[in-house]
Amino acid sequence: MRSRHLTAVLAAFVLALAVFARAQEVSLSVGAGGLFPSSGDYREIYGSGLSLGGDVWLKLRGRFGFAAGFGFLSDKGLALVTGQGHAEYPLSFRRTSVPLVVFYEFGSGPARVKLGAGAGFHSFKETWETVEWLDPLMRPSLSYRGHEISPRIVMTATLALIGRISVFGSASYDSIRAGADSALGTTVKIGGFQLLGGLAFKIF
Amino acid sequence: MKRTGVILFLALACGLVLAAGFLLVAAAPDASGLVSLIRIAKGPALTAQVLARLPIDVRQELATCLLAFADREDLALLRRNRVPFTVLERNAARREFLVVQTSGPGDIASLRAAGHAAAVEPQTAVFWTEQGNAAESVPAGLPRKALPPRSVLPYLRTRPAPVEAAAAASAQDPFIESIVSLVSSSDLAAHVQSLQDFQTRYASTTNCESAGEALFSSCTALGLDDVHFEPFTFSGSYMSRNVVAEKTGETYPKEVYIICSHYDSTSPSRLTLAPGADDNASGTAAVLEAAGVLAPYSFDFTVRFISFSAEEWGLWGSRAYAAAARAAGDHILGVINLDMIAYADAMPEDLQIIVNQDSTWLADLFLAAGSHYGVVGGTKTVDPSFVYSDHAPFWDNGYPALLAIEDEPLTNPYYHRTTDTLDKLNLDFFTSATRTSIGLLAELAQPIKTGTPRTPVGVVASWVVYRSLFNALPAIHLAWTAQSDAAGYNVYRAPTAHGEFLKAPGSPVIGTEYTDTAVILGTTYYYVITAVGPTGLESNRSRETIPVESSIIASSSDRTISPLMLRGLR
Ligand SMILES: [Zn+2]
Repeated sequence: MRSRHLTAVLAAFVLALAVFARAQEVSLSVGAGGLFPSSGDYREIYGSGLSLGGDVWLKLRGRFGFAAGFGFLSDKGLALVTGQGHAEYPLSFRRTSVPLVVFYEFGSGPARVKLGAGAGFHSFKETWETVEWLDPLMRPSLSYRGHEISPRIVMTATLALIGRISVFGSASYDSIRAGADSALGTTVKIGGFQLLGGLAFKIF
Repeated sequence: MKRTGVILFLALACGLVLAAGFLLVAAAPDASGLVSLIRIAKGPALTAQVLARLPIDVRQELATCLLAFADREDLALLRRNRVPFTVLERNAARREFLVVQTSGPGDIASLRAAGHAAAVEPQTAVFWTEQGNAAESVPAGLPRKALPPRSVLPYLRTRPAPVEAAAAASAQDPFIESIVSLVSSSDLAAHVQSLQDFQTRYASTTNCESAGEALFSSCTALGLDDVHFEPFTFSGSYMSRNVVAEKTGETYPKEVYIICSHYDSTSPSRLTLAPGADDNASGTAAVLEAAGVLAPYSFDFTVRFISFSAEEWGLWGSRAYAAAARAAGDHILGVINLDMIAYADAMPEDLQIIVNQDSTWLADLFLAAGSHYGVVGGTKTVDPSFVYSDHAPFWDNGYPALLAIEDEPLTNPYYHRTTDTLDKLNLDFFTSATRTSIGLLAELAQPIKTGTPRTPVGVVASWVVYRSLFNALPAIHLAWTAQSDAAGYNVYRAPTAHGEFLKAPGSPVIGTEYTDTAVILGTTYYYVITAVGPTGLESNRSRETIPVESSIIASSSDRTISPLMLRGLR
């Protein structure tokens, strides 16, 4: 819920910036790819999952600009077992992220590279899909939901195709530490290295 | 002058060395082994933590105190931990100590006339002599028991919270009822008569040995799996023999239930006349009857029918047996000791069932069996101080055991007299007591009924932890051996040993594994598995299994389990 509000606020903010800061150039990119998680436990449980992302890029002054977007990550996995157990407990992990970065663009003509740094606002939920505590005196749920803000760096390369359309590839890194208030009380890195590829559309 | 100086110097050096040596010797721990016998009162200072931490050589648990050996260091340790104690004897090493039942100042006086005595409880004294031969010096007629040769502390430390067996939930089993209905009063009377006919069975007499041989032959005639003598020496150089007969379990041959009695007797004319009909031809007849009645059936667990000797001399036969069983690592799951079960001073007579804290479940089951099979009432008495029959050495070795006895304090006026004969016994009461004992024994040993699936074996349970990024699910994983006559398996769980077993959700299980997630870390659970046949007939229960947890807790404590426990999952 919170991430949807945040997205709306950010979208409004970006549009306002585009209008009032008299952006030189505005483009929109949409892509899909995968996350290569930093945490070994994450990799062991979920592997590398599917992620989707969309960003609005505003070039404001010279080669500097500002980008905001929306990311979605979904993973499915199985609980790890310590001891002689053979039961399978399916887990799912979903993360929505709103990245905000300041970037610098290199190059001119059809091929350009943007380097950016900023923050990501993340909202995530891990769900035990088939099991819950039977005793209501215990914790209400095995599932866990959380929000984190993390640093983000990103590099994007675009290559103009035809007209306003280009292809892009981006690599980003989010360092997200989460779970200090979870039942386990230990922090887990739920971010990592993310690769996306897709199309970009130049609005003006 | 020079030489005088050297001599002076040498003398001084020698003096210093001697002084240093003397100081070292004086400061060294007492190497002479000065060990005291102490009494530690049970009380708030004697917590489980103290018992777990302090290396106390406890030799006897009584109702209100512990008797222990302690050297100077141990005493200092007890003082530091504010555990109050009293020293009974300062020079206790290599002394023989007896726990003696006393009924008043007269008994204490007669003990003091024969040696040293210290009253440690209203009805319990400790007796010893300067010469060390307490067993020979103790006045005849006073029930006594020697302190065991090893510490009983390990059994006190691992003692679980007292449990009530699920007696109320148990019901009469028609199959077991059909077995106990075979118990016959006339058989019992005949067994007593034939034992009484030996005139005396006082251990050390040849008549006692002949009685042992007769018991051996009777057991041999029953077609049991094994009958043998276990010889032992007692009170110096005397010898006698326990008669041990066995019906080996089909499913769990190494898990043993015992029904026992002592066949020796005593009286003021013990060398020539000690008929001992109630004490204890009655118990011995019941053990023989149990062997006869159960011999044609098959059981999951092994049953031993044991007649001990030299009980009247100070439990020598059972002491030898229980200590050897412990040394061999025998799995004795429960002991039913019958001693004087045939004299009724009032009708209806009931039985006293005497147990220690570890054996209360056995008493509960005995009383339930009384209502199901024996039509005899009973009273449970938890009294670790009553150590004057063959159940006590089993307690000393950490085995659960009960004593069934007609009255405590005794009301039989012929007790230990030449007049303790068959004609004084109440055969109805005797038969009821025997039926109850055999009913309980059969319940514990689990008769195998034709047509039902075999009892599951190979049940293993272990703690496991399933873990996601942010949470962990402790669980107990159960697995057992597949068997061809089972269509499925029921899983049962109880919060205590011998407790009320409730069927786990999802039973019957197809396959040979089950994961129980309705568990809390740090809690002990008990599981049994039954096999369910194609027509729905259920097998006997597998033996109780407790999950192993040490490895999982140890391996995960660094980051998984301990925070989980801290945050209220416990
Ligand atoms: Zn007796």
